[in-house]
Amino acid sequence: MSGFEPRILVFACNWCSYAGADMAGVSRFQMPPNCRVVRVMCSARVRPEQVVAALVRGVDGVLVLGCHPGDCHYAEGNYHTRRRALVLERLFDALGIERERFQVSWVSAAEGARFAETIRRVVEDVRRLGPLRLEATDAAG
Amino acid sequence: MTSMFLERGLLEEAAVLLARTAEVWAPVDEPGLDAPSFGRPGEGLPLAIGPRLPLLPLKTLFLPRVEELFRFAGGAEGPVVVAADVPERERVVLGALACDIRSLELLDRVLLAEPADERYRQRRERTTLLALACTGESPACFCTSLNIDPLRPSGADGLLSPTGEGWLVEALTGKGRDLFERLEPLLRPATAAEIEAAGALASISRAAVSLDPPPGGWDRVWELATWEETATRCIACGICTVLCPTCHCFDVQDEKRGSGGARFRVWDTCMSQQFTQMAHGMNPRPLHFSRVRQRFLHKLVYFAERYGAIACVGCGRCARRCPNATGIDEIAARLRADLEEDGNA
Amino acid sequence: MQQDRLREIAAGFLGRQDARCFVGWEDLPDGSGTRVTVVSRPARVSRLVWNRSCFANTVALLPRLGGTKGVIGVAVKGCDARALRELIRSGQVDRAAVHVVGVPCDGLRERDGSLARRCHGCRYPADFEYDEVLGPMVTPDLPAHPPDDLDLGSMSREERRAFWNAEFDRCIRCEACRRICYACFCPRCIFESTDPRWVSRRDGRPEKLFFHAVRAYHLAGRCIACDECARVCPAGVRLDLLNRALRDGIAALFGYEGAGVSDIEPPLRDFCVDDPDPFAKGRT
Repeated sequence: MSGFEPRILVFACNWCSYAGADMAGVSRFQMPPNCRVVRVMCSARVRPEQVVAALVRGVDGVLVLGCHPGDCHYAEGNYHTRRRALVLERLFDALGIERERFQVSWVSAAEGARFAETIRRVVEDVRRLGPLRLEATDAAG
Repeated sequence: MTSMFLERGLLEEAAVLLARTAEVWAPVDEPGLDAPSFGRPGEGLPLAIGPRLPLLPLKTLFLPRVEELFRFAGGAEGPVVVAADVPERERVVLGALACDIRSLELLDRVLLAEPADERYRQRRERTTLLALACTGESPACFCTSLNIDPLRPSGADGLLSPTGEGWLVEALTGKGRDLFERLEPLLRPATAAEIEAAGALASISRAAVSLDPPPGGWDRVWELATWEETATRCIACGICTVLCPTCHCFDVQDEKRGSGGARFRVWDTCMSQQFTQMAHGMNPRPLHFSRVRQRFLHKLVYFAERYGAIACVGCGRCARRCPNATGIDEIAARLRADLEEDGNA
Repeated sequence: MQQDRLREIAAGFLGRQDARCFVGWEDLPDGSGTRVTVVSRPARVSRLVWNRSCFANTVALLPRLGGTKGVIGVAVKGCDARALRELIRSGQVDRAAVHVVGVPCDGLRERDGSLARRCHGCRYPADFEYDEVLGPMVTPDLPAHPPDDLDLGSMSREERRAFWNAEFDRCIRCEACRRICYACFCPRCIFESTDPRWVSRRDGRPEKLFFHAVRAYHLAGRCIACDECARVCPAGVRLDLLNRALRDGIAALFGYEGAGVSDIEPPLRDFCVDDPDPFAKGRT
């Protein structure tokens, strides 16, 4: 969809993926400006309600980044993230919302290139889908 | 004065004719709902004018479920506030039933008392109510127990009485006369048979339900066992408060989006734990049981004391939609039974 | 007659010193069905009925009855037993504080006599612990799918989206679905929170989507497919389809038979290091 700039909300965990984001920055990797990054201590801190809230408030896609499973700074956090994400995917399927609007990826502190590539990929995925127009239809008389 | 008649086949045209000078609302059938809802004829949904009670009551058109009051935004020279005005259009409601029409009269006692709720007042003034004489929908109806005449509702501007192949048409107020003048091309004089049939209509509404206080009054009702029994089965879903034509409590909420936002009001429910929750943490009705008691005492006692009538129109929506099928008529009956039992004890 | 036996058992139970009350079903005043009832005195057990229109979930009432003393008797049919098992497992009901009376059910019936939509594909825990039973508790052999019913799985994504738009447009946010659901027992519900207020009561699609999506997520793994949510909805929203879709999705993902059928934790309370991981696909 030409001219459409998707708005993506990114949750990045402090220990791995946010550091990976830093790495991408200092390595001067080019990334599209469509993302707002929110640092959380662990990807498991992200509540599914926050993902849904972001989507209903005008964000076109949400990306949750965490450590690779097995490497979570808090040992188990990302295992929970993974399960929740699998369930959220099924929820969006059932509701008819494109799965690609909610993505999860594992990015470690050293993977600046992977961070940048993930951002680029997700922005393009959501750009292809177009805006998530939920159409607020107020019944106010 | 000659009685006029509208033929069944001309109903849609009548709605179209009225729509030239007013915004027309009428019960329509929406897919997925087992009852009509108030909608705009001509927008693709079939008209459902008849003795079938709409799911949401008429109050929806006068005190909307969600109503924006104003928008605000940050401006270069300070905040900019834009009020959301009630549209100036005239409106016509086609096919309102007696219970719903009476409910407006009860709401008037609250919302038009000084200082009047301006938005409600404007909507009331700008709306003409064309009633349908109601022969009753279900055994849950008991409007006649509350001195409401389903066949000749007071408070209506005009009346359609079903008879033969259409409706006998009568103007009851000046507004009603204006309305029927607009409909004149579609009306014809009624025959004697049609007039007679209209006069012989009967309603199935139950007249035997009493919401009146028992002989000793409602004293001692505060502590009755009925409340506990009712509260045990009541799940506080609030459906009764949403669907009740006389419930009118609302909450005012502000919503911020970026540097601007809006203030709006929404229907609230006294069944909710938060209804009387205060900012400092106190809640005078923290128990579910006390909220259940409050709801019925408000309807049966306090509203009557303050405004001169019980806040109920006998539509039966509460009984029909309650997940435990418990309506206000059953509660009142149990209260009276309990009081009598206590009195004789 | 099972109904007579139920009344006998209830009367006997209520004669106990520690009996608080008995939860079962009674006829509606107009005879068009039944509703949940709570009986406290042995003389009133004649109110209790048991027939194929006893839709309401008696167990859902238990966490709300409060109080710590005494034992509550409860008539439990198959789907109710799933709810009870899950409530006990999650610490909401003390097994020692309930006297469970198993009521064999061979499927509820709609008003027209046909098998209730929700009873198709019924599975209930025949091995569940009952204190007394009216007869053998065996899952009846019922057809798996209601004829001519909607199937989300056979719709395209766009069709599903349009379907839910139409469904939620009718929703009036009365939240009866939440109130009736056995699994919605949180004393502080997210939808009652004012700080933060997650979603306003505006009538828009975004608000309704938030409510239904988040509630479905909160039920994920705990839904017992009793369809009470759809039954009480005054606007006829097909919430059963949404909650069941998630239930089936979870069953396929984690091999979980469904809440209340087996005694294991719902999947979202746990994890496995070998869970499927489509996110690690290294597609960079």
